[in-house]
Amino acid sequence: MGSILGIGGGVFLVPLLVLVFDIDIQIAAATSLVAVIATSSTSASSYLHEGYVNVKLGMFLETFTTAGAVIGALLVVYLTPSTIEIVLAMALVYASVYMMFRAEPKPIISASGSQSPLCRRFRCRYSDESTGSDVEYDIRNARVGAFGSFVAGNLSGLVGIGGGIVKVPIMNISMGVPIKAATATSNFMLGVTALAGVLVYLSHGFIAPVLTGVVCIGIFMGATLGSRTMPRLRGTFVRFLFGAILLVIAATLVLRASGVGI
Amino acid sequence: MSNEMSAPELLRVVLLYGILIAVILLAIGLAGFIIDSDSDIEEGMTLESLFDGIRGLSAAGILGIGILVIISTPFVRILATVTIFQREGDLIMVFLSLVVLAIIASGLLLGMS
Repeated sequence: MGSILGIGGGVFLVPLLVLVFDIDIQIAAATSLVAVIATSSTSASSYLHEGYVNVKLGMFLETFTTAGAVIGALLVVYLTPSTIEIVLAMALVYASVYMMFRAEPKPIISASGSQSPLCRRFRCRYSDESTGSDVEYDIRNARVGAFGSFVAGNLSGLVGIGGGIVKVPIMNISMGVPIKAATATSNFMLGVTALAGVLVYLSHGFIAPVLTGVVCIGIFMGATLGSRTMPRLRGTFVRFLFGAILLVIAATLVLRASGVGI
Repeated sequence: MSNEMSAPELLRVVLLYGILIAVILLAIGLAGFIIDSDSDIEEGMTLESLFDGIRGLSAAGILGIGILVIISTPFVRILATVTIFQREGDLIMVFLSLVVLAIIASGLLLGMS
């Protein structure tokens, strides 16, 4: 699921380990971050082969997400957990409504050489397996995308997830990147975002080798299947599925921040 | 004709071989754990216990190496992008890749302090 949606799967894995398997939250978060890297490596290797990943756009946005993630991790000290959860829930509701009910921005099919200078630098094109057509798209609002990526990294550092739940809507809605390219590029970026957090968890002894080994082998099989499934799915289906899951996560966060036990 | 791999192909190879090597090590480590180990499934791994496990070739040590391979894969991927962009003469992207590496290093240092 994390592979198909480009979100790494941390938002599913942490609640599963804590609520179902009664694993300590710090161990669960550390396991989740290693699993996010495993998902990113497995699915991105497949998407790179398919040509969906925009490597240069990913590296450009990674500078903002990693900076945001470091600052977000430092901000945790000054904010209460419920405040952080409410902030994230509001962002998720906004993103989910847009993902489910707003039509995907039409990718700009342009004649060779008619793309913007930024897009020519970033090589914005891929071949869509589900329709059999070549998609050549343009990127708009690069500054908004950069700022949004910084905020995405900031939220990622605050709540300890990969950050794909924010990166995908930003690329798709704000920057006009088609959902499949946004999902694949997000998968490509997730491993780097999770890397800094994992190193801190490792230095504190929170990584449990046996649990992490079991989870990562499962993640590897799931991500391999997911990355082979995504190219055959219609963009609209991926967007609706993504939006519905965000709403469920947002409702869970609001309930927890309000003191309702889950 | 150039024998050099394309940029996406090189990155794909780095990520694919990284995760494959890690999964093989994890599978061997888990098999060893099932056959002969009394470790707690939630027992955390410190750098000291990891090195002890590697020296003794224990199941936990092999699992630890597998996890380190997973963790190091995105790091190697960034180094590969630096090489690719340098080969293409795209100095702006080389600079951005190095900035990402510097931010990750600063995050680690701030986190540890």
